[in-house]
Amino acid sequence: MISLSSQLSRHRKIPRNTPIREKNSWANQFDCSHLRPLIICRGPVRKEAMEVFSAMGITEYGILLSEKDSMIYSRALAPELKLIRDPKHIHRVTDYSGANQAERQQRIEEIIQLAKTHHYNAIFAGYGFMAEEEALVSAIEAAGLFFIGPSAHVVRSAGRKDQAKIIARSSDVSVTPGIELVLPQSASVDEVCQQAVVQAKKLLTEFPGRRIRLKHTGGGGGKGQRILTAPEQAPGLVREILNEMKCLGPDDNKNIVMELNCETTRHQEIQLIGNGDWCVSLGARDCSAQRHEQKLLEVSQTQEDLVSALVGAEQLGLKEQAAALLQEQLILTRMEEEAMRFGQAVELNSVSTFECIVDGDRHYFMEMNTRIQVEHRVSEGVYALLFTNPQFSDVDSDAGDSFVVESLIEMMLLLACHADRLPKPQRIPRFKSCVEARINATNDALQPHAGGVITDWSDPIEGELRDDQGISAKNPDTDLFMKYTLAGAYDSNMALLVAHGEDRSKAYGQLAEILRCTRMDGDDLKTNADFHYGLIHWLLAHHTRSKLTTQFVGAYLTQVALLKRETDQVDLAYLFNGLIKQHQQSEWIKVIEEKQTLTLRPLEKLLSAPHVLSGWLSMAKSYVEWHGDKIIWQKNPIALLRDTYYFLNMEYSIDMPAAYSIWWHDEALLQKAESFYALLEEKTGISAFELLEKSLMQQQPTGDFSQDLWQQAQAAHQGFQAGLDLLKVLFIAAHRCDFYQLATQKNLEVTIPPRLLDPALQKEVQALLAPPPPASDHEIVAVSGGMFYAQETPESPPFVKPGDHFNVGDPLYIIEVMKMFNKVTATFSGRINECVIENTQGEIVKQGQVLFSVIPDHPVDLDSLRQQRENKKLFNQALFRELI
Amino acid sequence: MNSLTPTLDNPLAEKKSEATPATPYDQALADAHVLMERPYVAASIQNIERQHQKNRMTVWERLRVLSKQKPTVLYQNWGPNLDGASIVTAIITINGRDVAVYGHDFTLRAGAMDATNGRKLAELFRLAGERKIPVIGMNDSAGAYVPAGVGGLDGYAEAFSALRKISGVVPSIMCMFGFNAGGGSYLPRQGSFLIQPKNTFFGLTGPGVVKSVLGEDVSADELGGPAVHSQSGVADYIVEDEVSALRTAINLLNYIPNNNNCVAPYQATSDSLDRKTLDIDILLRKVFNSPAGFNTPFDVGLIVQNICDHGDYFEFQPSRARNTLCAFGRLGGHVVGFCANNSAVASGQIDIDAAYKNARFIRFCNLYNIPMIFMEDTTGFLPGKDQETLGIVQAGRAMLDAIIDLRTPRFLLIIRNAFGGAYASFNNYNTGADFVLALPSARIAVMGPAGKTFVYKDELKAIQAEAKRRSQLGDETPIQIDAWVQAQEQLLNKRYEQEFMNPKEALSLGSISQLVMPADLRKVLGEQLDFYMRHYQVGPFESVQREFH
Repeated sequence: MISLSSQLSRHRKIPRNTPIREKNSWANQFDCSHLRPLIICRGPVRKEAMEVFSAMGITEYGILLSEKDSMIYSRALAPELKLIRDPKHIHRVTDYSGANQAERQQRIEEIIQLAKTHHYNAIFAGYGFMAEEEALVSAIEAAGLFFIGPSAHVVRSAGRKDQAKIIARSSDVSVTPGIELVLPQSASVDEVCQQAVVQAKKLLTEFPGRRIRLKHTGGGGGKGQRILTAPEQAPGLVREILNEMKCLGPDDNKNIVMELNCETTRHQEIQLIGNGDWCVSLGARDCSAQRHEQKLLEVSQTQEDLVSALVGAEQLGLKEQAAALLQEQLILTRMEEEAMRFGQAVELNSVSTFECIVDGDRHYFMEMNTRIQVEHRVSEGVYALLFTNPQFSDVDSDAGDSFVVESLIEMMLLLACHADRLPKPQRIPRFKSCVEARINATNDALQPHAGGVITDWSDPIEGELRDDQGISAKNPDTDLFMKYTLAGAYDSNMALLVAHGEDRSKAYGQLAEILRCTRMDGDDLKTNADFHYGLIHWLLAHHTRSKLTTQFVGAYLTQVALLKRETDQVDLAYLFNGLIKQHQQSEWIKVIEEKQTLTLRPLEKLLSAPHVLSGWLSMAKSYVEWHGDKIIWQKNPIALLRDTYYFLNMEYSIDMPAAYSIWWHDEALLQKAESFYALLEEKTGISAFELLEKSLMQQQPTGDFSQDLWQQAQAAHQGFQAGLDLLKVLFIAAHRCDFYQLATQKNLEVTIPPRLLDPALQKEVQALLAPPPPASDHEIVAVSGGMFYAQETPESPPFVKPGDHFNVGDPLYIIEVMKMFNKVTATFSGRINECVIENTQGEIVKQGQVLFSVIPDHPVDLDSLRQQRENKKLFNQALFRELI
Repeated sequence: MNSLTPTLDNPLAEKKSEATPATPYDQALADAHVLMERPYVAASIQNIERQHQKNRMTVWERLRVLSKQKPTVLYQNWGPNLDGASIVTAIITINGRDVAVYGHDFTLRAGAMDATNGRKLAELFRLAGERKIPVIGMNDSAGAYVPAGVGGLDGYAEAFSALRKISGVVPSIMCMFGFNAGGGSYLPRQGSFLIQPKNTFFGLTGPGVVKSVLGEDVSADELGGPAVHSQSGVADYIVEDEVSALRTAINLLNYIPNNNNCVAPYQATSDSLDRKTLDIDILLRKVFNSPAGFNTPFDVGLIVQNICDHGDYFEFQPSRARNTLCAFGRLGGHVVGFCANNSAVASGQIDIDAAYKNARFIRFCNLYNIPMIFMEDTTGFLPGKDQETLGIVQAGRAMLDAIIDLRTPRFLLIIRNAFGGAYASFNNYNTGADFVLALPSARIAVMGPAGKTFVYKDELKAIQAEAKRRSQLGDETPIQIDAWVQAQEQLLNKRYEQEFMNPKEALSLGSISQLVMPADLRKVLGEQLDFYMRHYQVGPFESVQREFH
C-alpha cells in the first residue's frame, strides 16, 4: 500500500490515501489509521517505523526515550528527536529492559501504564531486547493493547530455543545434530556451572575434538552465547553469559542450551509472515558474513535469482558452478517448505525468522526469532505481497479489490489489526537481489570503538537506502549537520545501507558504489565502512555467489592483517627517491618527479587503510600477472591509476574540495597519457598492453608512423610509464603474504588456507589491525573508551591490586563497550604499582586513559627501537630491489 | 631505446596553433586577458606541486571550499610582478552573506609579506570595517619577504593596525594553514577566532631559530603545533585538516553577526519553546540521588543541549579549560552565548585558564550584541600557590570585568553551588544581570561547607569544652569521645546545609528573581530571552575604554 523508498518501489504501488480510501472498497477495510502505536525500542528500526506509520496516515504515535538516549552523554541525543515535532509524543523511561527480571517486570508495567495514560493502543518493540519477551507480550495482550508482532503464544512455543526444537521435530523440520541440554530453572549459578561441566564432559567424550556452543535461551543476536573447547571452561563462560544477559539474580532465567558447534557452516534464514492460519515465506537471507556472532553483510537468496544464475552458469558451460547453484536451490526449497510448516505449527501471526545453518548439502533449523529483524529490508527488497479479494477472480486494483504491501512493518501493523480477515497473499518478485551492510562503530579489527564523534556524513547517492536512525538528518532549522557522539551506550550499530539490483553482482556493485561515495568525517571516529568496501570488492572479484561460511570473515580479517604487516614498514618516499636516483639524465628525473603526487597520493591512502587496500587488490588483480617472482603489467598502469582514483572516490570534481580529489595537474597529466594511449592503440591497432609494449621496443614502427613520429611515441611511452612501477609495491606486498590464496573455487566454495585459521595468528590480528594506544611501559591504559570494571562480577575480587604480579595473558580489567564485556589481558609482565581508577565498578574511561601504573619486568630498551629503525631500512632496501 | 629522451608530451595529439592578434585592439584585449589570468597562473607548476605534496591546497582551491561562487578579487595585479603580490584579497558570498576574505598565496614567493601586500591586506580590512562585513583569513605565509627588507616589516605593521581598528567592529575568523611565523602569527591572533588544523605550525619563530638562539631542541609540533596552542588558548579550534578548518569557519559564521551594529542571524525554529526539559529533571534526580548526593559532578553540556533548539550548540575552545563551557546556541531562534561552570571537570572550579576563556568569550558576545546565559555551579575560584604564582587574581579579575562590562541581555541560572567570590563575580544582579533564576537544587552561601567554622563558632567551642569535660571525667575512652565530637560536628554540617546552603536567603534578598523547575528551563529562559531581545537596542558598544582587558 505504501512505498517507503521510492527507489525500491518498481512495482505498482497503491497509495493508501487514494483508491483504498474509497468507501466500501474491499481494501479499505484494512485501514490501520486508528492505531496509536508506542515505539519502545531504538536503533535504525525506530526511525523506519516512524516513517512507515506516517506513510500509513498514523500520526499519533509516540516514542520511548531511554536515559542513554538523552542524558548520559552529551551530543548523543536520540537523532530521531530532530524529526519529531510534537514533544508530547516523547516519553521517558530509565532504560528499555531493566537490569534484571524484577526491573524488567517493573518496566513492562511502566510501559503499559504509559500507553494507557497517553492513549496509545498499540506497542511496537522492533528488534529490541523486549520484542521477544513473553512476559511483555502477554502483559500487553492482557491489557487489551495491540502488540505489533507475534502473539504471546508464538513467543512461547517458537521463541524459546528448547521448546522450538520439540515442535520442529514433530513438524519434520531438520534440527541440529548433537545433544540438547536444558538445565533446571531454579538452579543457583553455582549449580548451573556444575551441571554445565558435567554435560560438557559427556558431550566432549562422545564427540572428541569438537567444540560446544552454550546459548542462553533468552539470548539472540550474538548475545548470551559462548563456545567452549574444554569442560573446565564451562563455569567461567556460564557466568559470563548470565552476567551479559543480566540473569545472575535468584529468579532469573538461567536456562542454557548446550549443543555441538557447527564449525564450517553458512547461516541462512527464511523470512516468514503469517496470520495464524496461512504462512508465506519471503525467500532467504544469507548472513554468513559475520564476526563474533555479529552479522555484517546480509544478502537475499531467492528461487528466481538462483534460477537465472543457474541458467547463466549452464549457458557458459560452468558445470561445477551450475551443480553448486542447483544444490543451493534445493536447499532453499526445503528450507522454505519447512519454515512454512513450522510457522503454521506455531500459528505464527506476524513476522518471524526461521534461522538455519547450512552445512554442505544439508541444513538444520536453529531457532525462530519471533520478531522483525535488523536485516528485514533485504527481504522487502526482493518480494512484495499482493492481497486479493477472494470473492473476485478478475480483480481491479484501482477499484480496491487488491493491494500490494512492500513494507514488513506495515505488514505487521496490518496483521496486528486485521489478522483474521487478511486472505493469504501472493508474493510477487521485486528486485532480483538485495543486500544490506551493517555500518558499525568498530575499528579495523571489527572491535567496538566507543566515543567517536561524527561531524559530517555525505548525502545519500541515488538508489541508496540509508537507515541511520536520523544521524545524518540535518538540524531542521539551520540545515547544518549536527555532531553526534557514538557514545557506546548500546550496541555498535550506527546504520544500515541497503542496495539492490537485477542480480547479485549488480546489487553488490551498487553497494560498492554507495560505499565508495560515502564520506564520514569525525573526531576519533572509527567504522567498519572500509571493511565492507574491501569485502564487497573481494566478492565482486571472486564470485558474488561464493559460499561464504561463518569462518570466512575471521580468515579474511587475518589475511588483511597479514597484508598490513607487509605494508606497515613500506617507506614510499624512500622507494620513490630510489626510482629517481636510478637515472642521471635530468629528463628522466623530471618525468618521474612530475608524477610524485599523482602516484604517491593514492598509494599513501591505500597504505594507511588496510581494508581499502584489500579491496583495491581485488579490484586491481587483473592488471598484473606473475612470471615467477616478476610482475608483468597485463593492462596499462595509466588505466590502473585512473581506476585507483575512482576507487578512492578522488576523481576530479569541481564540487568536491580540491584536497579530496585528484590535483588538477595530476588530472591533466593523466588525461594526456590516456589520450596518447587511445591514439596509439588506434594507430597501431594493438590493444593488449603487453603486445603494445613489445612493439614499442622495436625500431620498426607498427602501423602508420613516420620513423620520427614513432620515436616520439616511444619517448612519450617511456615518459608516461616512468615511475609507475612504484604501483607494483602493493602487489609485491600481496604476493609476500599470499593474499590471493584466499579464493573461490569453481564450485563456489571458498578455499580458506589453514594458516588463516591458526588461533595464534588470529590473536595477532587484533594487535595488527587495531594497535593498542601508545603508552609508556610504566602505565596500562584503556584499550578503548567504555565502562571500566576492575572485577568480573560485583561480588568477585578485583583482577589485580597494588603489589600484584601479572604475567602476559593475565586478565587485568573489563571494559564494557557497546554492551559487550571485553576482558583485557596483559601484553607484558610486571607488577601493579597503583590502581588509578578508584571506582572499580563502572567508571566511564576514554581510550588511552591511564588505568594502572606498573613496574614492568622487562622495560623497553632503546636498542630494540634502534633495531626496529634499522630493520625498516633493510626492509625497504630489499623491497626496492624487488621492485626494479 | 636508452638513447631516447622521455617526454610527457603527446606527439599524436593534434597541434593547436595560436592565432596572432589581428589588430592592435585585439592585441590589447589579448594582453589584458593575460594580465587578468596572471594571478591564477603566475605560480610555476612546480610550486603548485610542492604545495600539494605537503597536502595543502592552493589559495584558489581553498576559496572554492568556502564558496562555490566566483570571488570578486580585489587588486588582482597589485605588485611589481603584476601577479597579485602573493596574497589574494576578495569578497565572497557564503550562504548569502558577503564576507571579506584574504589568503596568502604560498605558491608565489612562499606567501611572504612585503610592503605591497601589507598595504593590500590593510585595504581589505578597511573595506570590511567600512562595509561592515565579517573577515575570513587563510594564513599561509613564510613571514616577511627578506629581499623586501624593512618594507616587509612595514607591511606587517600596516596590516596589524588596520586589523586592530576593525576589531570589535566586524568579527574575523582566522585559519592557520602551513607554517606561519612571527607577524604571521600575531596578525591572525588579532582576529576573533583562530582555527588550527593538525600538521601545521605557527609561533614567534620556528624550531631552527629556537635551536640556534636558545639551544633548545624542539620539534615544530612541540613548539607550535595544535597540542600547544589548543591548551594555551592561542588557538580556539583544532581540526583535522584544511577542509575541516574552512567548514568550521562557515559553521561559526552561522552564529555570529556581520558587525557590531546588528544581531547574529535569527533562525526561526521548529522546536517549540514549550518543550518540557524533562531530561534535565531526570538528569538532576539521578545525579543528586546518587551516593555522593549533592557532591556528584555532571556534564553541564547535557543541560545546555536540552535547552537549545534541537539540542544543537557550538562550543568555543572545546579542548581547553573544560571546567568551563562556553558555547553558542540558539534558543527560540535567537543566538545566545552560554557560559557555564562544568562540575564534570575539576569540580567546575574557576582557574586561570577557565577565567580567561570565559573573559574572552564574554567580551566577544558583549561587542557583537549576543545575549548570554550564565550557569553557575562552582565551589569557587581555584586557590593555591600555583594559581597565585601564575596570577589567578588578574585572570579572575579579567572575567569579573568582562561580566560587569556586559551590556547585552544577560541571565544567570544557578544550578547548584554559588559560593563566596564566585557568586559575587558571576553575573548576579549587582554585576548587572537582567534576570537571575535558580533551580531548586541551588545552594547560595558566603561559604561552602567550610563556612560552619564561622557561623557556629560558639557551638563548636561548646562541643570542644564538653569533650574536655568528658575526658576529665574519665567515664569514656578517648575513642568514644572522639566519635561523639565527630557526630556533633556532623550534626552541625547538616544544620549548616539546611540553614544556609539553599536559595532561601538569596530569594529573600531579591538576589534571585525566581525558582524554576528543571522541566521548565527552556520555556522560562526562552521567554525571558525573547522579552529582553525585543527591547534590546542593537548597536555598537559605546562605553568608556576601561583600563584592563
